[in-house]
Amino acid sequence: MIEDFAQIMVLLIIISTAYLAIKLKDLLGAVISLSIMSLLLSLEFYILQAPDVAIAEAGIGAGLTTAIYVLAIRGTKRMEEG
Amino acid sequence: MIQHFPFIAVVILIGLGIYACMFKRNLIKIVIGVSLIESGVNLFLITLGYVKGGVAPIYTNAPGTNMVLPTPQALTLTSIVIGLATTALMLSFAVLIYKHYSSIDAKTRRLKG
Amino acid sequence: MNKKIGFLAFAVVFVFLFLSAMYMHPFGEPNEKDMDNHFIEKGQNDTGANNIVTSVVFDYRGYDTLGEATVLFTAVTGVAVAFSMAYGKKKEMKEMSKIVRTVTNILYSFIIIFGFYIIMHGHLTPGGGFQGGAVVASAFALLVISYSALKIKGILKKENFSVSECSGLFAFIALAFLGISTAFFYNFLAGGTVFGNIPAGINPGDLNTGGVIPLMNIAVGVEVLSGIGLIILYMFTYGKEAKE
Repeated sequence: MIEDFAQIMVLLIIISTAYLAIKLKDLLGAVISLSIMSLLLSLEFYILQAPDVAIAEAGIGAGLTTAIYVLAIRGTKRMEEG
Repeated sequence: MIQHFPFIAVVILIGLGIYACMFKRNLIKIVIGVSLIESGVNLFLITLGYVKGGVAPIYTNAPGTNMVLPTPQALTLTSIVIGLATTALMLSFAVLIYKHYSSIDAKTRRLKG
Repeated sequence: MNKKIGFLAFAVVFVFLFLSAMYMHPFGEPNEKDMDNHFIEKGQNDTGANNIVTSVVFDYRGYDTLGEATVLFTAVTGVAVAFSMAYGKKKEMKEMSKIVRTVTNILYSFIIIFGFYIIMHGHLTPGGGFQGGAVVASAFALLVISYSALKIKGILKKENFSVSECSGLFAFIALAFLGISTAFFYNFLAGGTVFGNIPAGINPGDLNTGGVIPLMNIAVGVEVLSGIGLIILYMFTYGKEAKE
């Protein structure tokens, strides 16, 4: 019962941070929102009994992908126009 | 309906990713859309292999022997690493386009050369 | 006009995906389990590893892992080619404050040791080559960010990373070819003397098991850490001159 409640809460927050990632006009805020979604996805993988995949998603998705996005925004513009 | 909720969350994630790919004009927003599609597909693969009341498929000090299916987890591991590789390559192309054309809009100019 | 057709196509695809999600099997009761039951029951006896997911990745479906290592290698090559065109003079980059530099001095060796622990114990606990390689690459990214890239140029050289990445991929392919007398990717060390014990049932985990899987973990781990370190070094030193 308590695992079902935790799983539904985590899935709802994943959906709302994914919606924020494509709605924000400040690109740095969108990338940080994508990183939060990746961290909560790693928690969801742990709830679904997959610890290997949880370590991979936390290390690669929440750490390295965010670093590469911020380095790319540093080389282009920060605000989206239009 | 509640028992299908992880599959509905996967469909919403993939739908948001396809919307960002089709209707946004900034190049980095398009790459964020591709990344969302890949996260949705990874979640779908892990949800396929879940057995109610199962434990992780590792024999070191395991609490029981009713295990979840190990094959979708192996495929998801490969998919996460390939997602990182394609994201890095797409972002390096975006930086290169900004250096040559001074604009990061997807619709204003046809690429030459 | 084009936008209306676009919205209509998107709506059709979304409704199709939603209806197929409602017709899936109930969550928690998958239909066909024959192949996975074989992996769970006989995986420990065939390969000698406690971690069934690692034995599926490196032994039963090792050919897919070869494709994954090749894709990562190709992406690193593409980033290196994209950023090697002439970019002009480099600007001076600032380094971070003293608090960040002190914490980095203390922490980065522990992160590297923890990453190598995850690589080495891949066949007993959750972990393996890819996860451990990502953790060590995060330590390199921490070093590059807190000191400016001009000071790191003497310590982390691009040529060293390039040599270690190629040797890691070459060792992985050589280990796959060594068992060619029976099959490609055959686990020829299980039951032997080096890494050869075969455990049974639920046990606390002995490092001397797993056959050829720990050696493949080390090779893939070295390749992943040098490849991702190369990506971060290239994007950091060449990304800033795009603005005038």
